[in-house]
Amino acid sequence: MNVGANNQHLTEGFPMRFKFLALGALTVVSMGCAGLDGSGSSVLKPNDYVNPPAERLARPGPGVDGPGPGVLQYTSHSNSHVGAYGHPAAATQVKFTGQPGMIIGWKVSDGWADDQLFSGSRFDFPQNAVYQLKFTGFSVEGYEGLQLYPTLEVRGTDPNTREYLDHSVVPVEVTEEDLENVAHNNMVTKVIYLPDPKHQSRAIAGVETLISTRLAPGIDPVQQAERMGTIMVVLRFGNKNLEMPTAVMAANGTFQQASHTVYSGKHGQNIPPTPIAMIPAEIHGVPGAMIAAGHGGLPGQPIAPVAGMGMTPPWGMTSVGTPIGLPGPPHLPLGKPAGLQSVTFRDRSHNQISSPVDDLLIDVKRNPPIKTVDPVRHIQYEETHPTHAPGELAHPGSRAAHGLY
Amino acid sequence: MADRFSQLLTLVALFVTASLLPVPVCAQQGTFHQPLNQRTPPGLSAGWLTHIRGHQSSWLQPVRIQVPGGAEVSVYSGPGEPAAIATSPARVAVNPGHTYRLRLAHMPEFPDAELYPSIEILDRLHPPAGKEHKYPVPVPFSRDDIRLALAGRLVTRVIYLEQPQLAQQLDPLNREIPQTVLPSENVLQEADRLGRPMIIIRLGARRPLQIQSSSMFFGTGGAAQLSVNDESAQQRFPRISKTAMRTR
Repeated sequence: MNVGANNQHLTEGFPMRFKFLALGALTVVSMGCAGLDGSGSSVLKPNDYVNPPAERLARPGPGVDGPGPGVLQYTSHSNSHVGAYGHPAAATQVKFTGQPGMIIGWKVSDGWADDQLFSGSRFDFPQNAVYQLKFTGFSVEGYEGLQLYPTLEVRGTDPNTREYLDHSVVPVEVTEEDLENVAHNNMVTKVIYLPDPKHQSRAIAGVETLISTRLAPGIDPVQQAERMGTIMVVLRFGNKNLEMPTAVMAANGTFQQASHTVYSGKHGQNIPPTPIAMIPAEIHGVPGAMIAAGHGGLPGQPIAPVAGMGMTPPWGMTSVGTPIGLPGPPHLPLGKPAGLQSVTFRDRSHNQISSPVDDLLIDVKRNPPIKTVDPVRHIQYEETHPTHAPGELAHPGSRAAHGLY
Repeated sequence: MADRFSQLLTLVALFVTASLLPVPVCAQQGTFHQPLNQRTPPGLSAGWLTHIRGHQSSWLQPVRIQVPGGAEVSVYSGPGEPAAIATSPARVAVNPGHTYRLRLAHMPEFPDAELYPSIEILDRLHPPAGKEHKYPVPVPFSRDDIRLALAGRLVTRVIYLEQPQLAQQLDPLNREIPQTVLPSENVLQEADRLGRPMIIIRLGARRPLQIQSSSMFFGTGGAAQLSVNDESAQQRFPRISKTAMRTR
């Protein structure tokens, strides 16, 4: 009886399962692919290929340096600088404006270089560095003797700012309002950034400046600017005097006045500034890719796998904006695609003093994901040749071509 | 039996209904991915297009650089001395696929100004043999462009060869109001819609001082030479074909 009851259950459940299957099929067919990612716009068709944005393409990487259709070949004169932001020789041209008569100096390795620039002049500051400047010579009433010692943080070239920095000068303006803020013990931070296109409303766009004193308390102008665009220069200054007379104790126990060298541009002593700090090239964005270089190598470092053949570049390292192990060129390394599928960062430490987040997991998702062209696996080549019998061959000017036979 | 038949009938009805419902499209139909735009690093677009189209590296495309009121035009293809110096309208021949830096100086209408725009040669013309220099691609700089650049703005123009079906009736280079697109739009794509992009012009206020923004600041090493300055040929220059689109 029990078996019979079970059989009855099966005979009733069979069409029910089909009903649910049919309902599921109806749901999928009627919704299509739109519901798979919530937006419905990024689901790929079988023939769709997605590469990183053009400005992020670099070699080696997806869509570059490989055989097959849709893969762009490397051309030395055009792509050599792609992905080279952070180039050590790159410089940002800064123009100081706002205060007529303002004199600009800066810190050098063994002291200060005064009178190097004047208001309205410009200078090429090497990127990824912080400089200590010195502003004097203000002509605004009440601030004639004021000396300011701002720091100038010059960010590296980003693909978004490359076009602008290649052609335009970054203005750094010091206003009377800034001087007033400094006189009232306020620190002023000016962030000069290039707005993202979606944040540009004017037909002719340019740089924008965020000033800390105009923002609500607690809002970081640097973070705010990073949300709006790409930062090129950050100027910070307060009223701290960095050239206060100091004394040091001599060997005989007496105090002597400490001194430092001062160069003057008025006397032809023009000396480039010395950075007081360097900025890591990848300070912004997601962490860089970490892939082991292979036998005996350090992650991301070139190795010398063959004696006498010199160093090899770290093939297999992706040079795109995400660290999720994008498939590399199909022939690399050694004919195999780069196989890294995921990178997980976990903090396993158990600190006793102040414990940070126990487990840090960075999930990065491209939308749509990278999908490159499959390498060529099979080439079939077939030729068909014309045949002719003796006496059936003609060529221009021959008697047969003119129908004389 | 009749019950099972009705169930099967229901299933069939469901499948038929599902197959008749409109199926949403997973990806946008009729749109194309446009990876290149005016913000891609200078030189990238020209390099790609040259590779795709397979331009002869020996071909030199004549261009005519026009500055209102006249100017001394220097053409750099790399660091060092300029490859050519001429007076506006300057006629030089340059390599497709390469980027050049110009120097505009001694402009009577902007006496103290000195500008260093760049031109990125995307494509070439195919004139009749022996008449290459009669059909230069114009590289115009308007007064507004120069004023905006001196005010700290970056002006980007795309010169394109108009499609005959979409060609404007009036001389496009002398129109009072240039075609302008928003910075958020892809000016290269818009130019491609209207014709064949030939040259990207980028004009800002940066001048070369001690250190440049990149090793390619002065150009990508293409060839450049002065063209025949045939005024009569300029008179015959057709008013066709090239127009400019600006952003920023």
